[in-house]
Amino acid sequence: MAHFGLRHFRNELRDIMRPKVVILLMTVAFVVLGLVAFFKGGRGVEQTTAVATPGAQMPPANPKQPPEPPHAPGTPVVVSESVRAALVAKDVDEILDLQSQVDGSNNPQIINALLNKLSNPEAEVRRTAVQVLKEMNDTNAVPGLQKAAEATADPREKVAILDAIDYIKMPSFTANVPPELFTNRQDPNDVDTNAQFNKNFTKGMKDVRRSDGSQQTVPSDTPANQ
Amino acid sequence: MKTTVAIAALAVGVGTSAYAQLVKQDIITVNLTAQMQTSVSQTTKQNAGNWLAIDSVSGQYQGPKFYKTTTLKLTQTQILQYIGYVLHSDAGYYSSKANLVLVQGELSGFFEVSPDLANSVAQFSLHPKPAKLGAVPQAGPDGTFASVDGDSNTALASSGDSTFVTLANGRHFRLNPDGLSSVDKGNSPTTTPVYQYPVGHMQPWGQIFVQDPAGHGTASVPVCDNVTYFFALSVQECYDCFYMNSFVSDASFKTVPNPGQGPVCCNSGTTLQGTGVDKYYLSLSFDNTQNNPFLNPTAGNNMWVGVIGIKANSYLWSGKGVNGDSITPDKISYVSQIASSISKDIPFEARFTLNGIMTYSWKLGFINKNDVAPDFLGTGNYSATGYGFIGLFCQLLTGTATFSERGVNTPCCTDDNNTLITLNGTFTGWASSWYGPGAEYAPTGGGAGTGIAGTGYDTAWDLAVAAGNTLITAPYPPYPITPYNIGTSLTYHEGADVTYPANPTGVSISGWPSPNVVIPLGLPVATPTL
Repeated sequence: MAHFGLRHFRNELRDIMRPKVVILLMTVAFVVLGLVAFFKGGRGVEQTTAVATPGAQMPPANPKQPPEPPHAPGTPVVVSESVRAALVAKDVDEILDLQSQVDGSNNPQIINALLNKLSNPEAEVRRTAVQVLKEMNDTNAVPGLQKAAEATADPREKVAILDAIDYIKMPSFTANVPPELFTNRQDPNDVDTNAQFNKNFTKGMKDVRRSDGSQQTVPSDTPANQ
Repeated sequence: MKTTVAIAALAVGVGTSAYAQLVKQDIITVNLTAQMQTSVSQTTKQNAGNWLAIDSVSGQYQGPKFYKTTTLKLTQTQILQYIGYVLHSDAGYYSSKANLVLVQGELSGFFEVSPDLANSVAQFSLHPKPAKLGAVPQAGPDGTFASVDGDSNTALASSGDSTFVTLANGRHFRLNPDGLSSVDKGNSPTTTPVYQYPVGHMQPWGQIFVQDPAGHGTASVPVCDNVTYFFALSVQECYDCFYMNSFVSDASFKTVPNPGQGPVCCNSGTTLQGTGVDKYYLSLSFDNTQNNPFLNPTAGNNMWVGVIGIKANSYLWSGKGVNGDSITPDKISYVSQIASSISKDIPFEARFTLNGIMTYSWKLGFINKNDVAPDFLGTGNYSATGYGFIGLFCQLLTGTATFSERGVNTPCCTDDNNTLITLNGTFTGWASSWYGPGAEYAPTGGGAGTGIAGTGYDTAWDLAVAAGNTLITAPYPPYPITPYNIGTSLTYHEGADVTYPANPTGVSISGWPSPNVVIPLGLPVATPTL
């Protein structure tokens, strides 16, 4: 009976481990893991937003003065300084992560995420978001920044946002350069600029040798120093 | 079913773990505002009239009475265009996804390098020249180094012996005598002497690359062009001063047990971790013209790396180009009209220098659990003002540059495939693509009978090496000094060395990157003439 049970189990296992079944199970596993990750992330956002209460947009007039503790209307939330610092650091890290993910094709999503950070109760978080939006240098951020400037009562913060808007809208050095001036390949003997005659310089020569610490032997036509 | 799910989960976990090995890399963003003259005119119209015109009231010749400026912005996008124009003959070579990155970067003043790395020697190769320049190949740095340093790269996180964190020790150049242990005190060396180097001689460190995951590259194999020689960075030092010589810091360190997850070879049992903010005075120059000695193919210039810069310095050649260089007064021939076509437009010509304070906020910790050592990770904010010669206009610059450090999966400066290099069984690592604009490339030491060209000693470090007193393996060194302005340096530290760059023969350049002896162009330069 026990033997039958074992054989039955093996048969069942063989059925289970058929390729299609395995693929199906792995797919399900990935989906489950993805859902777990999603809900884990979602909880993280909830935790953040639970502290980052809307309505606490007004930063302190004096940046050295600690901002008012974030609170929901009618239900003050008390957090310690260390917790608050950790939350600020987390938000700032998130902003910098967003910046590092900019690849030219995802600007709208990242701009939206950064603009959302402008409603964070912490001045440092808002300041970082404005700085990153300025560094992104994308005019699509201007309308959102303008709204943020209108909603901001702090004169310093308003000026910082307006400065960022001005900078983003400012023409660049090369904004109006005609296309024909972008290249200099017309004359292969042109000595004005590099003519692609040495392709090794960017990554270095590949005949690298590791020395034993002795001085190199330089080519014979290398001029003596001094 | 459970088994299968567990296997799948394990597979995911392993894959994630393997993929999560991160390498520190800085993305450099630049936000500069430039003020420039756009009109000098005899009327309210732009650039109208002649430089001198008869004044209707006085009846005398007078100059233009109407002057206008404008403001433009300069970001990393423009810098990438300036580089692409020279390196690839196309200002649009790099895609909109390209970044200017600092690889193996170390911005903290508490960063130091070992003698093995310090003694690395820049390698020279013959760079071919176009026919118009005589077609005679010319020797210059080829972007590689010979080194006994066996680490794959110079970052703290993966450094077994090339770099390390050190703390202030009350000296500015010499090793701390307290650390010499029993050897210093004349006793038998029963314990290994601990030589402590001074801090603040190496930051910022690394190589500057253009990384482009699109256009001519892909996400998995991005374009990685080493463009370090377009830049020059220098840091001010002072001596006989209290505390550190080049930076100030609000920091706290703690010694913690090393998790022991790195290689057995390099686990010392304890390690330093901490947080802090370092500040230092940094000058940052960019130059894609032939005034940059690394881009100047003049015969005899042994600093030429094989790339020809824009001919904004044209005294050696006739023909098109700007007959001036922004250094020598009145090289441009005189034309009475204010608006003339005396030179062609070169909008991608750029030379500028910024001066300001770098503020680097960092945490010292393990980036990956299995790293050899903790590394600094943080953000450098550089607020600066400066001047420039950009697009053939003089510019006044203000703004910021940000060095944002993150862990990435596909860093530059490993090799073409972004993996470690093995060539002929030799582990080369960082040395396969490295330039040291913070040092001099002129070979030092050697001389008659050695087969080595050059006998000059250009830096304090060269002198010390020549005297044989820097190696920690030697018996008690009488005057050991810390590595300083070494061949692999990204940054030149100003203070102890008075001559920089070396006097490259046959080429006239201004003091670059820092204000120095300005040599009138076109004059013989064997003996600099002021």
